[in-house]
Formats: sequence, C-alpha cells, structure tokens
Amino acid sequence: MHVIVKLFAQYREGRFKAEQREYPNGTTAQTVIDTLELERVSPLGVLMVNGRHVAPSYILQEGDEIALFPKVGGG
Amino acid sequence: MELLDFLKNHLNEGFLPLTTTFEAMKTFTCNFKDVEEMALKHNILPLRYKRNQKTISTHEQYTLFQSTVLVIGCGGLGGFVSEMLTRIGVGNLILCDGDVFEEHNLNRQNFSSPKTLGRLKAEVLKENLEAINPALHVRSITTFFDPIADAKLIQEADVVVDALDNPDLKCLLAKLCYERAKPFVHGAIAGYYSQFSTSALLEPLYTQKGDGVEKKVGNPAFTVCFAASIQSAEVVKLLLGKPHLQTPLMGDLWEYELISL
Repeated sequence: MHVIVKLFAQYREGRFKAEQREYPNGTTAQTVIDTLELERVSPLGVLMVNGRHVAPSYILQEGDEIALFPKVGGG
Repeated sequence: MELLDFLKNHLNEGFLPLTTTFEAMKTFTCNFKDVEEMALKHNILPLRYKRNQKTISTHEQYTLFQSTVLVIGCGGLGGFVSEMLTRIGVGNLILCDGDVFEEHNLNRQNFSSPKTLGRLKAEVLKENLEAINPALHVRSITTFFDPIADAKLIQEADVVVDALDNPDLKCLLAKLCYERAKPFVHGAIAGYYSQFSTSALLEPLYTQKGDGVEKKVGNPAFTVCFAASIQSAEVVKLLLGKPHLQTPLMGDLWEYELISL
C-alpha cells in the first residue's frame, strides 16, 4: 500500500521532507518510525495520521498521510 | 491637592511621565505602584506605555497592570518571557526556579552574565525586572517546581507560563492547570525548532517519555527569544480575553515555517 510520510525538524536531516512510500498491509506507525530509524535522532514527539493524533500502534491504511515530529523539550 | 489632580496637572502631552510619578511619591508619601494605579484607573497612561497604545488601550493596560502571571522556570524562556511581560506592563509576576546561573547559560539566558554566575536565577530576574519597571511586583520562589507546593501558586495566577526544561514536568504542570481550568501557555525549544500550545494537555506533543532532542542539539538564543515572544503574545491575549492558540503550533526557524497541528 502507499503511504505519504512527512518528516519535520531534525527527522528530515539525511532523510526527506515528504515522500510517498510503499509498505505491506498491516504496517503500524511504529514500523514506519523503526524503518526510518527516527528514534536514533530523537524520541518521538508528535505522531499524526491524516491530521489526527494517533498511537504508535495505529495500523496504516492505503493513502494515509503520516506526520512525525521529534520531541522538543528545552526551556 | 489630591493625588489625581496633581497627576492631571503635571502630564506630558497627556501622558504621565516618570518625573511626575517621582514628584507625586514625595508629595503624597506613596509608592510608585500606587501612583501608576491611580493614573491607569482614571484613564491616564504612563508615558512608558506610549508605544503600546495603538495595540493596547489604556483600559487594557490597566487590566494588565492588575494581572498576575506565574512563570515556572527562569532559564531561557522564563528570562525573556518575564522581561517582555514586564515591559508590556503586566503588574505582578511570580517567578519560580531553584537553579543558579552557570557558565553554559550565558549563550541565551536573559540577565546571566559573568557577574551573576552562581546566583539564584529567580532573584537575579526579580532585581532586574523591578529595575526596568518599578511599578512591577515580583515574587521570586527559589525552589524547583513542585506539583503539590505549587498548586497554590497556580491558583493565585491569572495565567501560568511553562518555561520548564523537562518534558515530563511540562506534562505534569499542564495537567495541574487543565484540572483547575487555569489558562496555561506551553513553549519548548530544541535547535532551530519550537512548539507551543495554550490551555491544553501536552501528552499529544510528548508521545514518548524522557528528554527531547534538545539534549543533542542544544538551545540557541534566537530560538529562545522567538519562542519567548510567542509565549508572551499568548499570555497577553489570554489576559485581555483575545483569541489565542486553539491547536498546537510548531515553529521552524530553519525553513521559516509555522505549522498549526
């Protein structure tokens, strides 16, 4: 299935801003995070699919748009 | 002559200048805050707020003067938010931080300097802010944020500012404010990036526990000041009953984007 992956802030470095990517049916948001090795950069901050906050266990559907932001906590 | 008449007779182009305020303090044996209160209450604007006036009316200036803002954390965000609130005319600040200035704070933290290293941040801020605006009342609480002890401080404030540097504590403070229906302004930074939300729980912004990416990429001064500006604007809007953020806002100073979630 096709999923649009949008990355923000430090997650973009050495990766991409937005890409349509191919994943097997049943792929979770966590799998997308793992395959892109995002958590080597930073723990996850915001995870949204189609503009709504979801849990990492969310199972992606054909045509979904997933947006991923690193965790920002400085003051 | 009554204080009010004295002020009306000694205005500068319709504004209350500092010289008149000091003269009134001597003549009527009162303090700076009393004089400004008398003026604002009767629609006389202190000259220091002349350049606020097209944006903030004299009536609104009086609302700000009577307001109390609690700033939790006196590091990067807290130092600049509290200075901006001081200059714009918020009358009462409660500053909470148990930390002292260290050398690695000098790149970004307001009022940190070689002279203030080792001193309590909340106390240094109080001294500097009261010097900027003598009408201001600042309370410095020189202990670290404590959810139980600080619940009372939250009740005293009209708005609470999250200037903490720890995501788990930020979530906890947001929850305390949310449960008390207390207006709350969140801000956080890392590298070129920042995020904001107003009067909402923070779990959607902090999916995972632990420190954020700022531990790797640091906190440059321009991101601190940018984030502090947005937080200050939100505080003023909340105090004046204006429209404010309804969804989280993500700031990107690398590509110059502001993204509403």
